[in-house]
Amino acid sequence: MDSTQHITRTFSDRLLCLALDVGEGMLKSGAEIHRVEESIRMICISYGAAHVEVFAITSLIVASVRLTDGEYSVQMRRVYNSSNHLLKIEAFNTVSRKICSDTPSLDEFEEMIREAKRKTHYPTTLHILGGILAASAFTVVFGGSLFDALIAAIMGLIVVLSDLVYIKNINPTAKSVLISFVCGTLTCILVHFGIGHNEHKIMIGTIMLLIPGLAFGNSLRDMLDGDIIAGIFRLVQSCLTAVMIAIGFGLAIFISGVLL
Amino acid sequence: MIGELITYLLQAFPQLIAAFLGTLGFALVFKMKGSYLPFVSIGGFFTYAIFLTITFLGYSEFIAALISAIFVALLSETLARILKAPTVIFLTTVSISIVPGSSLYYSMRYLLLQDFESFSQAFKSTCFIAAGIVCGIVIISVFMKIFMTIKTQIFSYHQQNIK
Repeated sequence: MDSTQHITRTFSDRLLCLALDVGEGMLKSGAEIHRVEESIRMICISYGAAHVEVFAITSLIVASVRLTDGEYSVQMRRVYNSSNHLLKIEAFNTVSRKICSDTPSLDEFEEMIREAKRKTHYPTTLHILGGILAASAFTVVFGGSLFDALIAAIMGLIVVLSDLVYIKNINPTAKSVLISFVCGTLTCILVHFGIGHNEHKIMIGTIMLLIPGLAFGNSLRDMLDGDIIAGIFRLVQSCLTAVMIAIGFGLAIFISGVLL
Repeated sequence: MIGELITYLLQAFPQLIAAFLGTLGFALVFKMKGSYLPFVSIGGFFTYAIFLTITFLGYSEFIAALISAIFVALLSETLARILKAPTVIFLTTVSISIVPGSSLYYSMRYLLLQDFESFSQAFKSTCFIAAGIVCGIVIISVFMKIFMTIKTQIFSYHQQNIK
């Protein structure tokens, strides 16, 4: 979020905007709600705020800050599509800790956020390699042969590329159905023509890559921390995604069973 | 008994290596810092080894998932304190190798084949493994919270005494 337009605004406005930038960065990368709320609160308090109220769920952060001289600011940040980016969680965590202990000027604060965003750029080749490795390795874990792993590698490549290709305004549930359907159909066709031995194992390898394990685990941890609404939000989201993946693969198996 | 276990684990060694590589792959997909990768992959290897050991000893999948998840959580808390990074980073990557992707697939498959008996078995296994993982992580996280509270209170008590 570009905050240069806030330079003429009051101190509390700018402070809250920057604190929300940190919170948004964490929330977008899949951090726990507790961490996001706590970071925003601590940043504002370390700059001398008398009152800070933060409420965050997976898709929204609402925060207000009141300084000791009565200056007041309320801001809201809607957070769209979140993905897993562990490097970013860590970087923003470090930024928020450093800011709480040093309290630099707001310009330096802004520079630190920009620096953190620049530093956490992850090489695309590693991401693609990871997807291929994960899908093929889990095919072997669940008892597939090395030949099956090779097919699963292709499926892993498709899944990762679908993550990288940015399609505007696509519904995430529709996307996961589509990807599972494409992977499932391709697997069935390849196995039907004798390439690959065990279609079950290949599909399991692909499913492991698609399944929202991270979101599921996080949702229950969120609820444990007392963020019930955010926890339910993520729980429903991840269960829905799991159902959508099952629908996609089920459809693929059904159609290829009829046609092949 | 131990001899049988060792032969079983040696037989499953290719799968354990695959669990190692799979965890590494997931760490890359989740965009993890390069210097943490070896710790996480070795953690994934041992997590799956523990899961296999417990199921081999005749315990249910729930218990196996629970104990492996306790191992995962303890390892993540330790790594987080040594490497000074948030716990959630390690927790999510290391626990990947016990996520019930296989039984989820089979439950979908049996539902499609209208084999409801096998479906309920596979679905139950999915739910139990997921519940086991969550319970293990929650137990350790609750213990760590209590432990940290006691630690900070003792620390502040000391400081008061010094004054």
